[in-house]
Amino acid sequence: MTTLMRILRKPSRWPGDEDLSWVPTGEIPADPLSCLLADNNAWSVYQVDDNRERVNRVIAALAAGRETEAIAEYLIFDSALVDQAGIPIETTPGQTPDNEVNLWHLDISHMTASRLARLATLLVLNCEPKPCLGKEVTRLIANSVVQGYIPAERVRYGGTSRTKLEIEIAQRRSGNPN
Amino acid sequence: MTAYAPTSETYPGVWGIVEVDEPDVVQETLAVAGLPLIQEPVASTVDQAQGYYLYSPNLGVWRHGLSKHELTARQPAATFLPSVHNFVVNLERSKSQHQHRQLVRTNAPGNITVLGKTYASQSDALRAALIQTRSLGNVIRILALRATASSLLEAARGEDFETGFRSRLSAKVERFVAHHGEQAVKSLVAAVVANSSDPDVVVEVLTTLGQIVSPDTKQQRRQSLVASLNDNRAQVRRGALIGLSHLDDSSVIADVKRVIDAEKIRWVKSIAIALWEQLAPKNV
Repeated sequence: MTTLMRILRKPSRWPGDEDLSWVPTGEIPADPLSCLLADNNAWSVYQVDDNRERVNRVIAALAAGRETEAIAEYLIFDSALVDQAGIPIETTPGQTPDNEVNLWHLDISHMTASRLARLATLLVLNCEPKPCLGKEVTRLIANSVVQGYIPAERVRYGGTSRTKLEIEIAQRRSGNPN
Repeated sequence: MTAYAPTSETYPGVWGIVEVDEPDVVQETLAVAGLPLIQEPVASTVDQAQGYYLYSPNLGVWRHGLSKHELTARQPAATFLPSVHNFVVNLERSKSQHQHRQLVRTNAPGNITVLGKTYASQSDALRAALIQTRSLGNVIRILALRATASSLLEAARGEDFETGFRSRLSAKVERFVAHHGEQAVKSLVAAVVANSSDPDVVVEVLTTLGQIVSPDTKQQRRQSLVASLNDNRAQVRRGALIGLSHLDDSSVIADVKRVIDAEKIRWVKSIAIALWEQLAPKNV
């Protein structure tokens, strides 16, 4: 069993304090499915194995493809939940600008609607989103750039986000990280 | 929200009628502007008015009783302005009398009575009314901003938001705040509080309020985001926390601590904890 990580695309649909008394025991409302949609009938996840450094590297690698500084909200879960949902996991290379992170990439593949619903139910009942605020995300990207994990030119940040990133990078290179 | 043409002298000092979905907001707005509320019973207003209908805090009742369509059916001669927003925006742009007349000429003409005088055109009537009740114009401006804020949120329903990518809504919110300043911020947050359906829209607006780079509105944005921490919906509190994380202002740390102590939804609480760590890393 391994520990997997997935960044949520639409975390605002995760269950909050709305009245869910109508939801039968062991089921979840439909809205969270929009946080967990498949792409090409698969789900990209990263094997992080309870390693905080890996989690940070994955956040930086994925957030480097964003246009602006923003929160990253992600799930950490055991691969046993995927097995329980009856879905195969395949090792496939990731598409991030961090080559090492790409090696940790897995596809939860052959996702059908019913498999997705089963997995989503297990995740909502067993996990909670964890946050990495935008400022910290920028720091993590800066760290990956300075460490040589991500080429600076492959970070898509623009405008004020880019300026913040460049300040962070400069501070790290001068030996004075915030 | 809809604006109606001027009232008759039956209601001196009032020239415009605004129908809104939130009577409480109107009452609050009038109170801020120092204007008295007119406590007319709805039924008698409808019976006595001469084709034009008076704003009153009883609009909640009125709204249930008479729609714009029904008002028009009762009084076919009534003339309706396109909207308060269009009127105010055009009025602000109209620096010369010529432009002003050109604006109103698009509406059907009619004999309109304002404070005892009858005018042959809406433009004359509105100008006369505005001169006499300028403060009400400010109120209508505020109401128009609130209506615009609501329409921004409404138009964004169904937009596909993705974290870390600029949305059409966030661009509109930025422009709205840039043009209208603190009142726009208040209007947006009021619209967010009233918006009960789309959590993505709510979070996008609150996040954008934190991201705007403008010292002019920073205090109001901070106050509005802090006030949103008290909302009874987790997604609004989450959005406010994310907005505050972009604002990155350590003066709100006590408010964030209060959320940490009170928050029942653990994944929202974890955002508050992360924000507290961001704002006071050296105190940990």
